Amino acid sequence: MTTQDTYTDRLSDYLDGELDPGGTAQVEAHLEGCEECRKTLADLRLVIAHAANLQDAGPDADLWPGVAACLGDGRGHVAQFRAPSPSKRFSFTMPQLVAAALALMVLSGSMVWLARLGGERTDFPAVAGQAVRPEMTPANLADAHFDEAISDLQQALDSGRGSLDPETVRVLEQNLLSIDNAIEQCRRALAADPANVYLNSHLAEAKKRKLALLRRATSIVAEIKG
Amino acid sequence: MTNNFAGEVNIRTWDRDSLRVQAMHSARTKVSIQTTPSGMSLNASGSMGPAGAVDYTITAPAWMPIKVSGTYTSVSIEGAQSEVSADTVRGDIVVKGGTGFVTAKSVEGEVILEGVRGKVTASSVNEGIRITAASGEIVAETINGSIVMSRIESKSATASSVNGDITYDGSAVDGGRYSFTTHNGDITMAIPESSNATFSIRTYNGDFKPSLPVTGVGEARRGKRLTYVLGNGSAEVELESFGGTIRLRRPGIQTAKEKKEVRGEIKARAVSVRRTS
Repeated sequence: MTTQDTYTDRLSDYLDGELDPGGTAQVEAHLEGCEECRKTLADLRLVIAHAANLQDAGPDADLWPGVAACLGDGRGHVAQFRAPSPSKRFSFTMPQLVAAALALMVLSGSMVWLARLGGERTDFPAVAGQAVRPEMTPANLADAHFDEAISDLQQALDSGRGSLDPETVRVLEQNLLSIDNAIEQCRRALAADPANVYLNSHLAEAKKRKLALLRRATSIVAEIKG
Repeated sequence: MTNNFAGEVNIRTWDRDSLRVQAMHSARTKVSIQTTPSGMSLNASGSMGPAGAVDYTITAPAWMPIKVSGTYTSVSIEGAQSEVSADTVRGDIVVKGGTGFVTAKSVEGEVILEGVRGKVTASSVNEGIRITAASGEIVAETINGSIVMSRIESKSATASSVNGDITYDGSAVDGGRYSFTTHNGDITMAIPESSNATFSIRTYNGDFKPSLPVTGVGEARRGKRLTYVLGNGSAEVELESFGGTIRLRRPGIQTAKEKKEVRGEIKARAVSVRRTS
């Protein structure tokens, strides 16, 4: 590995402010004399700026039936999920990060293009249920799915509100509001810093917490109704 | 096993192999005691509609597993030497003793656990959790309350809150795992200076203030993960607060803020007692 490669690999950490003061000084000294690294750094800043401006756009139609139809050869596919090790930390090289960012941009663009085509092309035919079902359905905390799950539970809670003590309803609503505030603070911070790993995981945790509280509230309603 | 819609459940233990049940209730309420494959079951029913409030005083063999559930019920269990489970909507839960699986869950009540051993799960929604002199695997979770763990001997402790502070005062065992996360609260971890631990610190708007001789550099801001090491770094400690201050210190030393909070809590309790008496 050349000296330049060494510095190229550290530029991402430098940009994220993850280098210690000594490392930061070394990289800055190197940048003064290395035109290529300055260009790479500028490119990297550009990628981050692009990533920050990417808009989430869900398709107008549910794409899964069509995807399933393409995959559907009767054999079925079962996805295997593994709980990630909490202590594991992944790191990527600069070229890997750039490639991933470009792939993300292409993928997002394709999704938007597909979604905006409209008409029959996005009207995928329904497919029959697969014979083999995955053993576990992973929680999907993307906004649309999360909102849907929250909405279902909220409706269940609203319908059973009359059977709960008003003070209990007040406490539950107050705590749901506390979680909503935490979610909103996370979202605002993420808008300014979309690639922040901590913010993303913290937001996911807050969403899971809200789901858990709503589930508990609805189970209380069910118990009281008897 | 006791299911009580409203009232109190007080359970004490003795060294006899028999169960004594005393219940105070209105004339319209009937208490039934049934034997089940897993032990005894206590339930109340109303002769005209739902059961009214029942106050139970139960003396049980220390070896007998205990399970109490209720809605508007406070629960106190003392001296159990077996599994304990208590679940209420409104009402405090106090458990002194218990081994194996010890579970205490309340929505509107405070959860207090003392001298419990085993796999300990404590959960509240709107109130705090206090766990004292406990050992084993501990999981504590609340939303608007604080979590205080003191004199803990544990190889695995997890605590999370949204608006509350988290305080842990106890051991950090070699090879152990500890994870404390809150959104708006402070986190204080007090462990002996001789501990061996690797701390993973993350905060977005808060601060990190270690007073233990940890090695590591950097400023804990904007969600960046910082790693600090104490001793040989054997135990894994994860401390995360979005907006609060994360402190590392020796056991028993209270900061001025903590002292003030304790004084405030005592004062609030005194006012509460005066109102109820």
